[in-house]
Amino acid sequence: MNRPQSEYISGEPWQTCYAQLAPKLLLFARQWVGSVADAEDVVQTAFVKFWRHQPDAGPEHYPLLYSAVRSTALDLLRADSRRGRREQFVATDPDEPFFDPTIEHRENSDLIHTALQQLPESQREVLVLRIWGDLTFAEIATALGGSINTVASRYRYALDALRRILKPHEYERA
Amino acid sequence: MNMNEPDFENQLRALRPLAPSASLEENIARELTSPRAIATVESRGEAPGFFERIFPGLRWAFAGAAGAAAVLLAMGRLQPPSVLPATQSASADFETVEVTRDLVAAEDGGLVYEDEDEPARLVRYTTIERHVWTHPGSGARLEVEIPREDVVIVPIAMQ
Repeated sequence: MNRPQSEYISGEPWQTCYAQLAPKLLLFARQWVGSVADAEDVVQTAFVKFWRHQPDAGPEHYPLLYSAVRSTALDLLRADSRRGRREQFVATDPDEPFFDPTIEHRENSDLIHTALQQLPESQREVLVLRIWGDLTFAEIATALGGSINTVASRYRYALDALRRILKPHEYERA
Repeated sequence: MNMNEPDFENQLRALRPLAPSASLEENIARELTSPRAIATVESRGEAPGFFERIFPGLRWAFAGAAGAAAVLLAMGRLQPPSVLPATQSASADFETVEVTRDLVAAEDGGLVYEDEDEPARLVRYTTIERHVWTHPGSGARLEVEIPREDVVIVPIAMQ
């Protein structure tokens, strides 16, 4: 596999991948595990597992990282459930936002964080991968194991639902 | 203002996901350079063992078979092996009238790695096998439901 030299600027291929995807993978993990600390554990486990098995992975394989994060997060939830201490999905916590709180859209980020939690899981994960993961519908279908048509329709439903949820807050005027 | 879809998407994209802590990259680097890393990660996963791969659903099949044997013993139709071989008793007295298998659940088990490190998707199918026998002489009807869990590994084609 020939990759452009720019991919190796940061050193090892995994470092380049990490620099590009770490915040996106963390956001994706937090769709299942509430706290940042647990989400980082999930990302670490999935990331290490992926790169140990595919040390020469290129960007075309990156969608599978999201799949690894998803299955690791679900494994963690199952384990917690078996131990009888599964937490409810985290409520909006201003101390652990989904998005960078230092940017100018702080108020909107809190609104969207809350709105995202009201979406069905199947729609939310597609929306997160499409908007903040920058994946195509085909890549999302690979990551989640569905058809492209299903992914596309879930994305449309998610966008519509999100707009309806945000409308009372007049998000569009922000 | 009635914002169209691309504008709305762009507004969403303007939000930047929260960056992970600095320690995450350090921990990953340490694990990727540690010879024990893979063992640690594998121990946290739920990949099926060798026996389960070769004989998917065997655990449930054994449970179902044991249940069926218990029912037959309770009805006095199946003698212990020391007295009479089970195959003779069951097949001679009862006739199979129905065998069905219904899918009750399919669960995506996530990503696994098969031979040559090619990624594959693990899917667990839960089915219920239903066997119905009748006894021609007495008209007795015997129904046994056997839950099965089949683990299927589907290779993922790379682009």
